[in-house]
Amino acid sequence: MIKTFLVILFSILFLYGFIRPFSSVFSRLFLFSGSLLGILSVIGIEQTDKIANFLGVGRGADLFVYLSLLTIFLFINYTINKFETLNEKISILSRSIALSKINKNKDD
Amino acid sequence: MQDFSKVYILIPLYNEAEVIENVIKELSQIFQNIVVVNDGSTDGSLDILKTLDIHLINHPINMGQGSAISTGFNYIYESDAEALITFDADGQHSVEDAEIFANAILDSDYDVIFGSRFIKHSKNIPFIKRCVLILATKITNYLSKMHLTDTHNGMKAIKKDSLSKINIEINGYAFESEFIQCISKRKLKYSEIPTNIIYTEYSKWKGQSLMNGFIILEDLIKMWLKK
Repeated sequence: MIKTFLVILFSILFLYGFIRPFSSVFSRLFLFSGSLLGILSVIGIEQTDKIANFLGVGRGADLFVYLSLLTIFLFINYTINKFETLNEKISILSRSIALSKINKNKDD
Repeated sequence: MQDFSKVYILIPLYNEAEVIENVIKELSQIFQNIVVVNDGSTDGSLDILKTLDIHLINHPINMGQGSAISTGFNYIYESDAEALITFDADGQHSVEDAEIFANAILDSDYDVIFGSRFIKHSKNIPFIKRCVLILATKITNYLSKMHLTDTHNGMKAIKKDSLSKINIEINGYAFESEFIQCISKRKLKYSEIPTNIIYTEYSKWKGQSLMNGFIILEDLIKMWLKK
């Protein structure tokens, strides 16, 4: 029961990846690979092996490792992008604060 | 003495308490308007700056040289300046060179005048630094399709009218490359003038390390990917 529920949940997340607007393609890919990883971890080793065979990867465990590495890479990329966007916003904010509080020693 | 009241000196500053007073005092013998952007210094530089006869802009946090320069550009763009000269805070640049730059930008129709250590004084540059600079220059020239000999020289003269065409988004050291990209894209007229850099023990200690060279390279790649 819980398995079915989780598979449905991860499938919804996967489909949501198609319609949700993202600022970066890496963020979208992260959602895809993360939800696929979720589905693989729930459905069991036999089914994972079948999918791995179909994809020509070999064992299900290998597929799981590859997908995990991809998800980790995409997560790191997503986090770095987030930090950079945040840094840019802080920069704009700090610079406007600095310009609004100019200390013209010359006029003192 | 020539009147340079319409030529503003722009100094981005981060933790230069040891030398900044002398640098400003030397500059103020020639230039009337010195804008210092204190980029979140933590060594007491701000206290010293408050006692000097300058235009002081204070970033509440450290954001990088590119950001400090960009803030300075915004401020000077709203002022009565005709041109500005960027000048390093660590005492590496000479006031005589700044004077030459001021005359050159006022008397010529160039929008930007770059300083270059490689025209006359390349032997003064430490070997490893020279290699890093040459590599950065080659990459920047390749990306921007310009022909400069020194793309990461802190001394430049810029006409105020050109500032509206220059947009710097990179906060770190690689802003120089972004600046050059803007010059190239907007087809601004530029030239180069030799500058001498005084490599004191202090400036060598304070200067950019090789690790910063990698950060510049990383920023250049990001800039290239964004293109």
